[in-house]
Amino acid sequence: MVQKVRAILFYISVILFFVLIPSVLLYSFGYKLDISKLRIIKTGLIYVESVPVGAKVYLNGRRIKYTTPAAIEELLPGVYKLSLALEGYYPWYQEVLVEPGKANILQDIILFSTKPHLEKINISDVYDFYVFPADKDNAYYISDNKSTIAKTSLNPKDRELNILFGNLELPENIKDLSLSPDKKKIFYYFGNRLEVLYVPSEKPERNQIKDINFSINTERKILNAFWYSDSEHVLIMTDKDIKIYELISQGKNNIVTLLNINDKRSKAFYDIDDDILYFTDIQDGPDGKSHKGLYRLDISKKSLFTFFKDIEGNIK
Amino acid sequence: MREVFDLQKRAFEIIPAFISWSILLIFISFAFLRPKAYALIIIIFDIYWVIRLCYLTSLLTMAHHRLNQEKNKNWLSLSARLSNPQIKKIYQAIIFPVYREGLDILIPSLEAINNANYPKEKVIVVMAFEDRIKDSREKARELELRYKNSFFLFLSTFHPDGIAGEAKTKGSNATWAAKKLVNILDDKNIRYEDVIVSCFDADTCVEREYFGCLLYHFLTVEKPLQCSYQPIPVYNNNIWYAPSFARVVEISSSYFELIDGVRLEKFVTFSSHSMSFKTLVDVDYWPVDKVSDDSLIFWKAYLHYNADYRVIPMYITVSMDVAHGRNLFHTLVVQYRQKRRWAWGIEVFPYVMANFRNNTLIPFNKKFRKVFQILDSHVSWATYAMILTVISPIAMLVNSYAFRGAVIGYNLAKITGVLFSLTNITVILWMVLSFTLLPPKPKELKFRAWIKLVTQWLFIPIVMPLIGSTPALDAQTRLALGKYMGFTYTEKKRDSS
Repeated sequence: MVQKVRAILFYISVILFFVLIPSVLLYSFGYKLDISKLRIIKTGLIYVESVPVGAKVYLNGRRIKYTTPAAIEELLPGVYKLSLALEGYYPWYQEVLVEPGKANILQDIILFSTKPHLEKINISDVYDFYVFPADKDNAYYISDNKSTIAKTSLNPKDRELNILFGNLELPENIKDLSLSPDKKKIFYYFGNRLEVLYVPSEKPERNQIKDINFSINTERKILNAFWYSDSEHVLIMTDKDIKIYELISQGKNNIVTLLNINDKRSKAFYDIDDDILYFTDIQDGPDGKSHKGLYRLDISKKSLFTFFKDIEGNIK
Repeated sequence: MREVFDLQKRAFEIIPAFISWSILLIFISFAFLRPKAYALIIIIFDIYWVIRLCYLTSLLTMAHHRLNQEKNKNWLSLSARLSNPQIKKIYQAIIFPVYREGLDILIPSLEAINNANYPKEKVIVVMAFEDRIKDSREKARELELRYKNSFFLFLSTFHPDGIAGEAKTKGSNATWAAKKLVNILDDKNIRYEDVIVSCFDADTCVEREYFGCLLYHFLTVEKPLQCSYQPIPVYNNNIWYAPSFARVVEISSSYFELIDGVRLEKFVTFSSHSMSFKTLVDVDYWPVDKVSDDSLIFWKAYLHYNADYRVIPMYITVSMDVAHGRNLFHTLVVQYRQKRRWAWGIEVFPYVMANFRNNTLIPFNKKFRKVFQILDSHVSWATYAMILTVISPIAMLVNSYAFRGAVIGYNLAKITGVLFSLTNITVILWMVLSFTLLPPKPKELKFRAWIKLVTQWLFIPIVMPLIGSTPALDAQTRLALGKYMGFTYTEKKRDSS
């Protein structure tokens, strides 16, 4: 009896295997039996994910029973109008090509909210502000009457306002404001003048230069100015040259002219992580002609040895 | 003397490993070089595996049902009702090959025989010690004091080292003991036909009705001398104290024995088994130079009787120890070594092949089936778990890029998931069945021991390749390389310490 049952089970298993194999394989590779035409056709699929999930899926205007993430299988090759809808979010629409045996995967769909999440993050009036790479948690701004520089947290829950400098008489034509990497100094510049302000520290250290703000006057108009990564030097680019100023004390700045430049409207980018300055300039080539190009000036500490050799001729 | 190189023997030794490694390398090659072809192969393999698993689980359920039906039978009275005059003549001889097992292991085994529902004046117990183990004689004295008058005969034999042609195996020790028993049976004028011999591992504890069941089958089967009698080994002696993963392995081993008990044509002797003493003598005892004496004795008899020999499943359990060590890692090592020794059963393949070549009386189709069955069981053992739990997931992960943008990439994961869920259903069934085989929970263990019995099945995906396929591959590779294994003692540990 047991052997009879076993034999029946065995033959059922064999039949099941041979029935399942073709059907599962055909399904796996995207084949579908078209009963009306009695032929096997190769289909494709669309797989759609959205952020947030749970969006209703419409294909050629008809609602699909799934919500995102969803796989719409056994689609005949062709172009389909796919749209997603979720309450409280803008709808999304795209025409999607379905090819035989292929899966069109749409994974980067973002549904944007119809009610933007807007919050006021500080308590005072701000008309202009600066966020520096050295301090991404706070915004720095100059008051409308140009008498104070303050900072405020960018976290809306933290509404603290911190006035860094008061009783200032800042000029109208400030071109840029910049916070040093150590967050202890701010400079701003206008015309041919750059002012360095030391941020009052809560715990002053001995021998530290405190509350001594000083000015740097250049011969020519300042085009760009950047903090060197040690926060103790400022790189100033005028329409004539590139200089580096060591901030020791008022009037005793060590000044090095790194390069003379010819471009009166030179554009520059300073990579503070590697202390490399990229800028445009017009320089004479070996052919005796002038060439406008993009230049790279490496002034990092590790490059100092070669650096000094290179700029030897430019030091005043 | 230098051994003569036997090309044919070496070829037969290489074949199993060659097939196993080829299957694995084919899967790996396709997985990384032809991802779409691999997807096709793996789907076919997965379907095959799930159907096979469902089929085997059905057989297990049938076998389990029969085990439950027969466990409360009073086999001795059933035998008495047969009115067979031979019943009064039958002796039960039990040989216990002992290696390093202590009295804490041996006494429970002997107590189980002492408590068995069988006339003790018809029971012969032979404790087969190894002479090279220094406390053997001390243990023998202790046991003789205890059991000298408990049975018809209680003997201790001491197998000496260095007999020509012998290896240090359990089979050589059991054979030495059987030969000693021959002299005693001759002295007492007991016919070999009237003795049923059982060769038990030292930790084997029989059920109360074991010998009655054995007697009943012996008296009722056709050609009783041309049969071996195989009980269902369970590993209940210390199962509540063994680590979870070791329990899963041993329960699975018991299940495969139950399943094979239904597949009679594939059923061979394993571990503790019984047979006619006359047959044992006729086939020249257990092999003395091979590790797998338990299965080889079947093949010796099969060849001796020109394929007119079979194994009769007995739906009664014999309980042994779960192999476990001092700690989790040591248990893993002990389990690995034990399973490698079991997988070393592949050494029957060259033996069977060589003997089939010389035997013209066994029909070719029978030979072919047997050879296929040996290879099928050992190659499946070495490869399936590796493909399912190691190669397949890695290939899916690596090929996720290759499959991207193809319907098969999406569907393969989906189909594999469905098939995996089906596999889980069978695992749940295995778990439920395992509860009915368990001995009562020791009182000192808390309720969480039951929880462990459920959660232990989560180890299946780790246990399958680690203590399933890997030791089998290891054993086959060693055989292929001619690095022959010797007998390795499996540590026995009863308490929870």
